[in-house]
Amino acid sequence: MINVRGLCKKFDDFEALNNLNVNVEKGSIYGLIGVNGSGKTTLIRHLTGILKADSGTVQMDGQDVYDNIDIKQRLGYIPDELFFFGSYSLKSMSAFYQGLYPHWSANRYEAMLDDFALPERGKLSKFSKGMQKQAQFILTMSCMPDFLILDEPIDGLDPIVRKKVWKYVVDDVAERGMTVLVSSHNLKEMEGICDSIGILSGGEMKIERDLDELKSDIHKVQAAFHSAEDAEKAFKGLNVVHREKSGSIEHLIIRGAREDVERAVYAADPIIFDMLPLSLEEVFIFEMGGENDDIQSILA
Amino acid sequence: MTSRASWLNVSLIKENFKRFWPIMCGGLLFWLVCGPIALVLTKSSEGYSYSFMRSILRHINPAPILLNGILPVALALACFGYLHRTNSAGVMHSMPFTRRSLFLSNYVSGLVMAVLPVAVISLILLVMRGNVDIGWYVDEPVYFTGMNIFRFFLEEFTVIAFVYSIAVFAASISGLSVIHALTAVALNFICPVVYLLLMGYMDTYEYGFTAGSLIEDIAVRMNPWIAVLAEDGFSAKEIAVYLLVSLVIAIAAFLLYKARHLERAGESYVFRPAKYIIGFLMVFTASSLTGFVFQSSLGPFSYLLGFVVGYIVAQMIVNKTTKIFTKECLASGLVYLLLIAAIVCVFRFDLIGYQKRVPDVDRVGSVYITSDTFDMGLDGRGDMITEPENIERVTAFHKKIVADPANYQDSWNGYYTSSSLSWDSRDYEDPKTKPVSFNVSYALKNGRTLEREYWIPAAMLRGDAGMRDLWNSAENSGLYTRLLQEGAEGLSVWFEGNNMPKWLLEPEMENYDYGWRGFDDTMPTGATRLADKKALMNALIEDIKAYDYDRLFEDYSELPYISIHMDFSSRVKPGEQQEWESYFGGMGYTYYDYDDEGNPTFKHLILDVNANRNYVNVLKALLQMNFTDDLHRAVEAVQK
Repeated sequence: MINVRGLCKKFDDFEALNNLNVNVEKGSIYGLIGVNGSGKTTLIRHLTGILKADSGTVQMDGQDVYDNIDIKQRLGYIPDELFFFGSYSLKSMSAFYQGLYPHWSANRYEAMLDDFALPERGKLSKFSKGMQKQAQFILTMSCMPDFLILDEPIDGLDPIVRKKVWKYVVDDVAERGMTVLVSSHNLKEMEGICDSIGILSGGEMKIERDLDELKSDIHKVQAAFHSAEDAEKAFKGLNVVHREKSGSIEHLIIRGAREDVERAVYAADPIIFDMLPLSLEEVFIFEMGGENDDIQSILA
Repeated sequence: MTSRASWLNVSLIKENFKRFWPIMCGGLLFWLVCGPIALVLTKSSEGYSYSFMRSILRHINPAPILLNGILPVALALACFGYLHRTNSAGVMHSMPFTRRSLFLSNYVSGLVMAVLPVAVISLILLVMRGNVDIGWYVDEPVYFTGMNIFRFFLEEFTVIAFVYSIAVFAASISGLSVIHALTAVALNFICPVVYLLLMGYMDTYEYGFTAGSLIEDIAVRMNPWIAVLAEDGFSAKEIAVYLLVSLVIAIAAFLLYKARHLERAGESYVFRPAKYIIGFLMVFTASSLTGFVFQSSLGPFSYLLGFVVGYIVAQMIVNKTTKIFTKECLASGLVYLLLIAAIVCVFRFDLIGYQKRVPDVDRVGSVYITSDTFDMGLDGRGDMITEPENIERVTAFHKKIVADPANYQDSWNGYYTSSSLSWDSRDYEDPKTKPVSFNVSYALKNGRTLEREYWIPAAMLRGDAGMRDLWNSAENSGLYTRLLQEGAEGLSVWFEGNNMPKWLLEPEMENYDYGWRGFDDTMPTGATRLADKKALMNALIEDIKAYDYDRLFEDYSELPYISIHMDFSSRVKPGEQQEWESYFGGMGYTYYDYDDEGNPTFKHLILDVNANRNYVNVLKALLQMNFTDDLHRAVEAVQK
């Protein structure tokens, strides 16, 4: 498992991470989301041993990551901005990786090379951004990592390749118990694969929960009542976090158990009642305190 | 927790060789062309070119010296280039390396690639040496020997290790490849430049400071890359010191590498102190240079001029921006200005107590006085003064000079310094203000030396009773003559006339009223004319004994005189130490002859005396000897 405790990091006077805690269960996929500048990449650079914490601990399987070769040999990392040695091909990069990672699987490498149909001897610098991302993915997954850290892994990939990438990730999680932390702005795809979610804001963890639990806890409600008194009666006692009225229709976002909300609304005999769970994207926008226009789009 | 304490990563070293071998091979090719290939091309029927061989093994050839600067820097740029981009720095540090193994693997691979070309060249030279003869000059030792090739390699290794370690240090503190390259080169010169600037301040403000060749030598020796230009190579001690310093620099580079903020890749310097120190050094250098050059015309503003230029350039470079008038930049600029002002004040007001320092008599082992103002040096008749009584006379006069130099300031129209006072800046026709140079060098009993160089009014020196007594002392008058009593059999003499009247000049000097005249007359080495040589020496000794103190202050520059060039040669005894000292403020010096194996055979002591009308006995002796009419007529012209 990946465990971050009380992580703090300052860049000069800017506090990038403040007393941050992260828990990623073994064999799970953790989605790290947050607005730009929230500290996602800084956290990832600590998780991959690039940066040293000012204070706090960053551990994998109970061992510190920084300057720990044993852990790093079990760690795969695909950064947002890739780097390959100049004039190197996939073949020569694979030879380099093979010397560094003891669990390197030549079979996996060959199989993925066929699957992604990349030219092994072509210069990586001549590849398109998407092809470079695939090449990095092949190299990283061929290391058979126990921990996989992905920073915008599907950025620039076409839908077919994206599907392949997620399949490899999900299969390794299922078959080998690989632990994954992925940061992406593509929340629709994150919603499909993540087991748990952490929302980072201003260097602090705003929410860290199981995805299903997170989604079942907040609802989008549309309802109309016979009278205003009935409406007030229906929502009294519920955790209404946003409410607005359009004609006779009430639009609300309510936090709480689905059954509790239903029970309260039905008790007021609604003329119209519709309740939907929020998508991850909607949860994110709402939790990040989106502008009124953003909230409108969630409620629409 | 570090679970595996590996120091080097073989995979990374191999990869570095795979990636950067062209740089190494470029260096090797360059060496081959400049070394063995050129050597073969210059081969004649007598063997390989001695001078070319020497130029390589003694590091005189400029091409390899340039390569010693370029190759290590290029390899440091290549091996540590990943540090200067955030993506590459991140990826490399996320791989299974510790920072230590990453640093050391890159350091070692770069160093090996930098040294390999010169190692290969040394082996090739070693093979060539066993198969060929080489020509050489009679007065120079043989160079193409196994020992010299080994020494050549060791010296090259020292230079490369030093320059490479500095380049790696620059990599650790810089955040951009361009800044890395510039810093790597500049850091090689930082110590010599700072040293020379401080010596410049001493020269400008410290009355009595002497900027001798020793200063340049020290500055040059601060970096082996520059020091190889001195041609005499490195001693074992120097090699050990340079390698130790290289190691210290490498360790410092490693510690900084460990503490490096990777997220600062892309900035000029990743450590704030480095930014400020380098910024200050740039501003200090610019400010000092304009201060030295324009001080006489602009005064204190001369420093300000360089400060402004240096500030603009330095802030743009270290902050990588044109916005250099921010609060932070201006604050650092103000600190720089205060520091520079403090440094100037330290020297201007002699806060280090340099000017007033005169050693106590009981601390002085010997003292040596010279003057380049007189035709016969103040030391005139000898070299070292060791009698306590005479030493005290010198220190007493020295104290008088430093007591209040400002007293001379008005009459001399300038502040007393060795550089700012020149002959042109004052009226030297006036006997009251006519300046004379007075240089004093104390050999202290603790092994150290204290040297001072002054321009003082001639009247001050002439009127000093202590210095007059010193001139007339038995110790002073005895030393000169001792040297002239070298064996007359080994002596050869030849003559020249100077300031000769028109009728005695060479035909090609028909447009001159006064000038030079050569003579056919000589007195060769050996028994020939032995009596004449002895007579000439005795006459010279008599004239020197009679040389009056007041006569030092008279101007003889326009009088005709006979230059008497004497060469005392003597066979070098087995085990005799070679002495290279000069005598009489440069009027006399030594050199040696060598045999085929480079061993010294003959020592030559050369002494030149300019005999004007005051050398009464010498002139009289010359007239009595069997010389040509030309020489006799020249002597008569001098007597008039």
